[in-house]
Amino acid sequence: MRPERRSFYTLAAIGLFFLGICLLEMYGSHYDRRVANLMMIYVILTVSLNLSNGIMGISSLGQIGFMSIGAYVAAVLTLPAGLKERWLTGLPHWLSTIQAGLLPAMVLAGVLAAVVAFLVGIVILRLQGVFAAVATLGFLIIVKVIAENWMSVTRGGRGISALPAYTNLWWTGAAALVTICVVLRIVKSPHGRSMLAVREHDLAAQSIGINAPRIRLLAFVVSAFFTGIAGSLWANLIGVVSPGSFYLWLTLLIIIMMVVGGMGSVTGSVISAAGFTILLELLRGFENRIAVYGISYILFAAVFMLVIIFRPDGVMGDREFSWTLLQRAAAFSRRKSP
Amino acid sequence: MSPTAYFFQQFLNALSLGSIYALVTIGLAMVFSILRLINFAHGDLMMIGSYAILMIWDAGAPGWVAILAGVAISGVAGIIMERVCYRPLRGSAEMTTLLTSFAVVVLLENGAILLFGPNTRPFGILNFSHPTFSIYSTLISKIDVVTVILTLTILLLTALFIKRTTMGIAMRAVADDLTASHLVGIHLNRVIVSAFFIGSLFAGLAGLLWSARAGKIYPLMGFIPVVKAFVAAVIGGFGSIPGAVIGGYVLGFAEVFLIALLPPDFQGYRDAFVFVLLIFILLIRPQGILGAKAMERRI
Repeated sequence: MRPERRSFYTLAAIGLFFLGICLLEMYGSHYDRRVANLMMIYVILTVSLNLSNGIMGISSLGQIGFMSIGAYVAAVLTLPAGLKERWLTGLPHWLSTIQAGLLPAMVLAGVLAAVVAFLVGIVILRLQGVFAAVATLGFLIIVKVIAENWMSVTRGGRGISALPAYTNLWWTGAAALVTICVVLRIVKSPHGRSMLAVREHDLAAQSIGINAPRIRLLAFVVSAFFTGIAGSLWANLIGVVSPGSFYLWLTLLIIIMMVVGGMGSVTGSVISAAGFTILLELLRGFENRIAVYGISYILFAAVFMLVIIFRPDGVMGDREFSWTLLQRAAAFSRRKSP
Repeated sequence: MSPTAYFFQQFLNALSLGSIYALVTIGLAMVFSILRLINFAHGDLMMIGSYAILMIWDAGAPGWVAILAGVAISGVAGIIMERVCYRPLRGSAEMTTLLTSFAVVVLLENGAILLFGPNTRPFGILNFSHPTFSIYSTLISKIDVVTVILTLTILLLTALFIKRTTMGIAMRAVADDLTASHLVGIHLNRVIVSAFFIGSLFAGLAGLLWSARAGKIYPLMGFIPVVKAFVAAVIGGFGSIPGAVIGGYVLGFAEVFLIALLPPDFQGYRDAFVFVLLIFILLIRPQGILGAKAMERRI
């Protein structure tokens, strides 16, 4: 397929995507929009987790810690000034008298998460494999403990509520699109190739001149940046942030989404995040009907274990979607049907 | 209370907490040394054991029957866990099994919430009629004494088991080189199942002691102890059993004296300090206190 044709298709797909958002924003019910928003947030989370865990091969369990940081930054920034003075007594004066909009909150949430990832990454990324996994899990617990105890800024276990509902599909859709594009660009860039090389063979990659610690840090920080943004979108969608929201369940959920989609495949992450969001909502409806809660957790964990045993590469393995592939598949199916 | 008495009291407290950590860590280290698997669900065996004990006790059985049966149930649960969740994954990457064990945690904890409800339940089974007594104005709670004596006995027996019995020697061989010991005819599955069984019995016992200390149980009780046991294992040098014991006691003392020394406003942060400690030990001395040789870099 000719390159200009490919970019035409890509632009058309993006156009369709925004048309869909436009339609949902105009005609969708509150519930539809909420599910679509959540879907976009999960796509951001899964794709950025895939950058650090799948493509780069860092075994991080602490990703949701960055989401927590992003969500709290957004909460502190966007909370109405009156409530801030009442609840968050530890804030400096200039901060407690302003109320920021979504864009500055998003950017700051991403930047702060990235800064923390940079500092934590310098230390933790020297570890590998299971040790990195448990150290990052330690980071997640540390973030939660701080969120629970820093009463004057995070309001402790009660959480910060009454956040303005700034998030809409335009924001989440655009953020998801940017995340996907940036991660795909990184994968195809020399940096991305270095990441794959380091993942496959650390020493061999270093011996051809790749700075492995630096490339690991890069993947970790970029991933944390987008995760932080997802956190800010979440905060202003749900309206409440509390320490318990960003913990083990969400960590496992995005790991499931990533593994089932295929570690290393952005396409797989998008498909699987979207699919699991819908599944999660269906199950929630079912749970409400029979008034037994927690089935979705058990089912998801079981599905994850089955996938990891019988199809460890997930849906996509590490392949990516491309128009050429689609064309070939279409031609193949045409040839088969009479 | 005099400072000496206070110190002694905290000392016993630390010894007892460290004993529990040591019990949990041994199970974690046994399985890790053989399979390179970090079993996060190990903590949920504590939960399963405690709930089983409470259920059997509530059904009217005498305390010692409930305790024996509950600990045995926890051991069997460990065997089932190995068979269902980890054996199909034998030979896959470390990360795969680690993520699986994470899924097992969510599965078991939510299963427990579904079965027993999310609420905390009182756990009064080791509630002796006079829970504390005093020597030279030092208040000593009986559960601490029981914990320490029980753990020390078990540690001694474990050491003998690993040094002297055929199974213990087989375990050490498999931990040293899995393929080679398979080649010389050691039944891998038997060794692995025994490691899981012993580790799970210890977890069940640790669950009992932990719950009796706290006086309550809840479905998510196992997670923080197991992550802390990992910290203890790292302190001691991962996979080494004596190291696991030392690591458990070091962690117990560090935690208790941290609580005693921290100003009240910072009490809530103590878990955060424990994990900061973990990260620093991993960086400065990744082989742990007892680990002699540095972790080899596999090429």
